[in-house]
Amino acid sequence: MLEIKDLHVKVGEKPILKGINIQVQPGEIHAIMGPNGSGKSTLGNIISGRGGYEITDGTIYFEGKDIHEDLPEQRARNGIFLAFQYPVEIPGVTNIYMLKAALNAKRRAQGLDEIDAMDFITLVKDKLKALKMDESLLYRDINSGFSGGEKKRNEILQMAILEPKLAILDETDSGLDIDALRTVSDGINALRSPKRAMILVTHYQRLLDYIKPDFVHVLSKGKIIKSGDHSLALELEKSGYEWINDETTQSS
Amino acid sequence: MANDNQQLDDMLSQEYEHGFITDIETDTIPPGLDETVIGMISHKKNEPEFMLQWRLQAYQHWLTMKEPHWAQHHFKPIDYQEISYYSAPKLDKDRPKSLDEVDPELLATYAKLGIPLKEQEMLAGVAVDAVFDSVSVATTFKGKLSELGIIFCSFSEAVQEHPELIKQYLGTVVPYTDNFFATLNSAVFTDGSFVYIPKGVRCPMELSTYFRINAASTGQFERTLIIADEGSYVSYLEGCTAPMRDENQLHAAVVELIALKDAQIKYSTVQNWYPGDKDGKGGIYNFVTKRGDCRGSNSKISWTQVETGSAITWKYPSVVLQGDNSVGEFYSVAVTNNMQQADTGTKMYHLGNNTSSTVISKGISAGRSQNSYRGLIKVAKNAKNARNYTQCDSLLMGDQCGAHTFPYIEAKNASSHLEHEATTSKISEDQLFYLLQRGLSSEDAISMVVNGFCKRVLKELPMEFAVEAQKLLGISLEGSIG
Amino acid sequence: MIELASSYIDHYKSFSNEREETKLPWLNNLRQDALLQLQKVGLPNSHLEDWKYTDLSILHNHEFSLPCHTEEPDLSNIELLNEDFYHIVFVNGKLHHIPDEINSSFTIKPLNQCYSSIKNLISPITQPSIRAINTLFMDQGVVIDIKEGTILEKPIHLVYLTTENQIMSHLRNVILSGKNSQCQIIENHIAQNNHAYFSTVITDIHSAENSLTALFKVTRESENSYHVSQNNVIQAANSQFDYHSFDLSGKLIRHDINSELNGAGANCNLYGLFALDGKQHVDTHSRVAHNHSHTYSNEIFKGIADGRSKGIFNGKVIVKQDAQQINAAQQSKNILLSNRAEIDTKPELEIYADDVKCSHGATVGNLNEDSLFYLQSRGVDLTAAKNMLIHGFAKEIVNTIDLEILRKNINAHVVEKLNLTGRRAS
Repeated sequence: MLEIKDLHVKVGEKPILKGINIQVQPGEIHAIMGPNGSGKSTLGNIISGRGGYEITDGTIYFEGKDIHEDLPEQRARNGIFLAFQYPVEIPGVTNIYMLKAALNAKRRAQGLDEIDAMDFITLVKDKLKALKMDESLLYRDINSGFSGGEKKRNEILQMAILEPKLAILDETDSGLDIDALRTVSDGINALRSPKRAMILVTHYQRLLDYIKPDFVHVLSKGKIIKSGDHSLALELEKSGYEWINDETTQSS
Repeated sequence: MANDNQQLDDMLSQEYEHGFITDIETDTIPPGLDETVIGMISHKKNEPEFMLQWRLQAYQHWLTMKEPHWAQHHFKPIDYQEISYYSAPKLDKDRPKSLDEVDPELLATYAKLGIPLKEQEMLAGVAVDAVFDSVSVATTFKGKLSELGIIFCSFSEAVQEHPELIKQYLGTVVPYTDNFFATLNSAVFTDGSFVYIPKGVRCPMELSTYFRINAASTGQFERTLIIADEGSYVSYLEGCTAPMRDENQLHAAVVELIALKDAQIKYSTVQNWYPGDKDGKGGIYNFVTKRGDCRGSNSKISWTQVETGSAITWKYPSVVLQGDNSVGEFYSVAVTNNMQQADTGTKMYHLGNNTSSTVISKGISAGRSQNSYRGLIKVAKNAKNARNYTQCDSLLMGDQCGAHTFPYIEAKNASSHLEHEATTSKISEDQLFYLLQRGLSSEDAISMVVNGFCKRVLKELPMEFAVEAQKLLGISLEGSIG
Repeated sequence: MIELASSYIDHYKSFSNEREETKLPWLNNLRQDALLQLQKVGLPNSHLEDWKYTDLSILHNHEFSLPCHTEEPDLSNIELLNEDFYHIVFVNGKLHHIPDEINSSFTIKPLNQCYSSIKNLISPITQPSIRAINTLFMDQGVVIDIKEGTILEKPIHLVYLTTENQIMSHLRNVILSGKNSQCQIIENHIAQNNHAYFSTVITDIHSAENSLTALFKVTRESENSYHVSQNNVIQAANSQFDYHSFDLSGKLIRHDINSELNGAGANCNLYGLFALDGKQHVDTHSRVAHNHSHTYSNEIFKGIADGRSKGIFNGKVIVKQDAQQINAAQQSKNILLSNRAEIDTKPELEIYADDVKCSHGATVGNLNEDSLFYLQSRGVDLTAAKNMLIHGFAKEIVNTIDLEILRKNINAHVVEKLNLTGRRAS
C-alpha cells in the first residue's frame, strides 16, 4: 500500500531524512520510534504532503502510484490521514462544519453524492459515543480551548469519520493520562481492519501496550537503524535509545 | 505552498459580478455646483423654504472647507464642478404606485443583482425602499407599517409629508458643518430613506434599502434619517452593489440615527460597490458620514458592516453615547483586494454615565490593497463608569498589501475602563494545511479560515444579510447543519 | 509662528557670533536648515499629528536664554555619583565633568571636539521635531565610542543637573556601540530648585552588529521645567537595544524614541513608566521601524495619572514591505486616578508585509475594585490597599532593570512618588 524508497528530505539546507525505506501492507500496523529530532514527524508530514520540505532523492508510492506531486487534499481524499501531534486551533470554524465539508469533499472525489444531513448527524453521534466524547465538542470551534486529551480524541473522531486507508498517528499518546490513553487506543483499535494500515509515530512504547504493532522501526538521525517486531519496542523501553545508538555504532 | 498561493490568487481575482449598466433615459442637471444648482435641486423636489435655506447655509460653509487628505488614502483631488448633482430616472408622470408601474428595465436590473422586488414583496419580512440613483422608485409594505404608525419612505416624501419631523431632527446628529463631505451632502443631497418608529413600537420586519449608482458621472448624495422614539426598536439593512464604470464616482452619503429613551436601532450594511479593476482603474469613492446619537437613557445603537467594495472607503460609523446607560456597538468586516484602499473604523463618544461600547473590527487585506482601522474612544470628564472593549484583528493575504491600525483612546474620567486589543498576522499555513489534510480544497480551506476569522461580526447580521455577506466574502454559509 | 520663534532666532544669532564655525561648512548648512524650519513652523505644535496632545508653541511665551557662566555647583547630594560608574556631569547644559582617558577600548569625548568624526552620523532636519532647535544650538554633549568587542563592566552615568532659572540647554550625544560590544548607560535628569527651564537632549545611538546597549533614563526635573528628548537608534543585525524610562517629575516631558531595525536578528525592548500628579504633562512617542526581515520588538509602557495631569503614549510599529518574519508586541497600560487627569493612548500598527505577528493592547482604567476589596477584607486599609496595587502595577517596569544598584535607587523614587499619588487618590 505504501512504499517509501531511499527517501532523502531536507528543510532549507538541513538534511532531515537520509535514506528511508519502508513498506506498509494493508492491515499492518507499523510503529516508528525514535528520540526527539530523529525525523519522525517529518515522515508523517512528507507522506501527507506538507510544504516546506524538499525531497532530494527517493520515491513515495501509495497504492502503486507516485504521489510526491499530489496536493495534500488529493492525498487526503485518496485515503491518507494524518493525526497531528499538535492539532491546530481554528477560531470561528465549528468542528462539525469542517467534518462535514471534509467528508463531502472526499465523497465528491469518489463520485458519490453528498451525505444527507440527518445521516451525517447519526454517523457522527455513533462515533462520538465510542470515543466517549461530549457532543458539545462538535459545535465548538476546531480544537479551540480543547484539553490535550480532547484534541487527540478529536483527531481520532475525524479519522473514524473519514475512514482512511492509511492513518499516520503522530505522537497520539503524548499528553494523555492513562484513562484518555485507553479511550484513544480503544478508538484506534476499533478502526483496525484488514484493509487499513496504520503508522504510529511515537517516542515511548507506552502506546504500544494498547495497540500492538506488527513491525517496529527505530529512527535515528534521519535513518531507520533497526527494525523488528514488538519485542524491539520493549527492548527500547528497557535500555533506552542509547542502547540502539551504541549497538549500531559498534556494529558499523 | 506554491499551489495554495496560486489558488488564493485565483480566488481573489474573481471578477466583479455586478458589472452591467442599465440604459434608462435620465433627467439630469448638467455638471457643476453653485447656488443655482442647489436651488434647482430644491425646486425639483418641491421643498419647503427651510430646506433650501439649510442647503444654502451648508453650501456657504462648504466653500470655506478643504478636501481632507489625512486618511491613509491616495487619490487625486476631485473636480466638484465635473459632477452632476441631480439624476432621476425619467418616469412617465408621477411615481409608480405599485411595482407593476415600475420601469421593467429597473426591475430587471434588480433581478440581476439578485434582489427581485416582486419576490421580496412576497417573501417574509423585508420591505424594500429601492433607491435607483437619486430617487426612490418603489416602496413596499408601506401599508402594513403605517398601521403601526411607522413611517418608512423616501427622504423627499418625508420632506413633503412630515416636514415637522425633518425640521426637528435633520442635522442634529451630523450638523451641516461637520466635515467636508457631509457638508457637501447637506447642500446637494437628492434623496435617501426616512424612518420614524413611534413610541413603544417594535418594528416587525427588517427595513431594507438597496442603493445603486448608475448614471455616468453622477455623484450620489444620499441622506438617511432614522428616529426611534422612546421604547421602540428597528433593524435597518442597507445593501449596495453598483455597475461597472471606468471613471471614479463619488459617493458621499450621510446617515443620522437618533435613539430616544429605551430605544434601539440596529443598522446593518453590506457594501459591494465597484472597487475598480485590478490596476485600480475606476471604482467608487465612498466617503460616508454615519453617526448615531443615543440621546435617551438606556438606548442602544449597533452598527454592523461588511465592506468589500469601493475603490476608496472612508467611513467611521460612530455613536454619541449621551443617555445614561446607553450602549454603542460597532461590528465590522472590511475586505480589500487589488488596489482598494479602506480607511474605516468607529468613534465612540462616552458622555453619559454608565455607558458602554463594543468595537469588533476584522480587516482582511489582499493584493496590493491598503486596509486601515482608525478608531476613537473618548470618555468625557463627567462620564462615570464608561466601558469600552475594542478588538481589531487584521489578516494579511499576500506580501504586497498593507494592514494598519490607528486607535485613539482619550480618557478623562477615572472610573472608565477601556480595553483595546489588536493583532495582525498572516493567514495561518498550519490552519490551511490542517484543513487540506482533511481533504478540503485550498479554496474551501481559505474560505473556512476567513469565515472563522470574521464570524464574530457576521453573526451580528440579520439572516437575510448574512447570506449575502458570506457570498460576498466568497465563502459558503457555516452552521447550515447541526 | 515667525515672530513667536524670534526670541530663539535672536539667541541663535548671538550664539553663532561667539563661535567660529566657518571651518565646518556642513555644520553651518545644517544649522541653516534648522533655522529655516524654525522660522517656518516654529516649535512643534498641535497642528502636527505627532504633536496633537503636546503643543510646544507655549514655549514661545517664555524667554529662556542660554546660560552665560555657571558657579561651581554642589554635587555632594547627587545620587549614584559615589558609585563606581563612569560619570559624566552636565551642569546647566554645559559639560562639567568627563572621565579621564580610560583605555583604548572605549572613549568619551566632548561633542564639540569631534564634529569631524561624527559628521556622517548627524542626520539632516526633515519633519518638524525638536531636532531643529537642538541642532541650532548644538555644541555641548559627548561622543561615547565603544570599540569592537568591548564589554563595559561598569555603567556610564550621565548626570544632567540644572541649577539656574529661565535658561535653556540643548544637548546632543552620540553613542557608538561597536560590533560585539556591550554597555549600560544611565541618564539622570535632575534639578536643585524649582526653576523654570527648557532642555532638549538628543542621544543618537548606532548599534553595530551583535552589540548590546541598555539605556536607563530617569527624569526628575523641576516642577516648572520643560524637558524634551529624542533617542534615535540605528540597529544592525543581531544588535539589541533596551530602553527603560522613568518619568517622575517635570512640568512637561516629551520623549521620542525611534528605532530602526536594519539587520536580521536586530531587536529592541522598550519599557517606560510615568507617574504623574499636579499639572504634569508627559508624552512618550515610540516609533519602531522593522526595515529588515527577522527583526523583533517588544514594548511595555505604563502610566499612572493623578491630579490634573495628562499622560500620553503613542506607539507606532512599522513593518516595511519585504520585511518578513517579524514579531512585534506593544502594550500600553494606564491607571487614571483622578477625574481631572487625562490619559490619551494610541498604539498604532502600520504593516506592509504579510509574514508578521504583530499585536498591541491598550488599557485605561482605575484600580481593580475586586482586588481592593480583597485586600480590605484582609484588614488592609483602603489607602494602603491602593498603594499596594499601584506599586504592583509599576513594579513590572521597575523590574526590567537588572542593574541592582540602579533598580533600588529608581524603585525608591518610584515608591516615594506613588505613595504621594496613592494618598491623594484616596
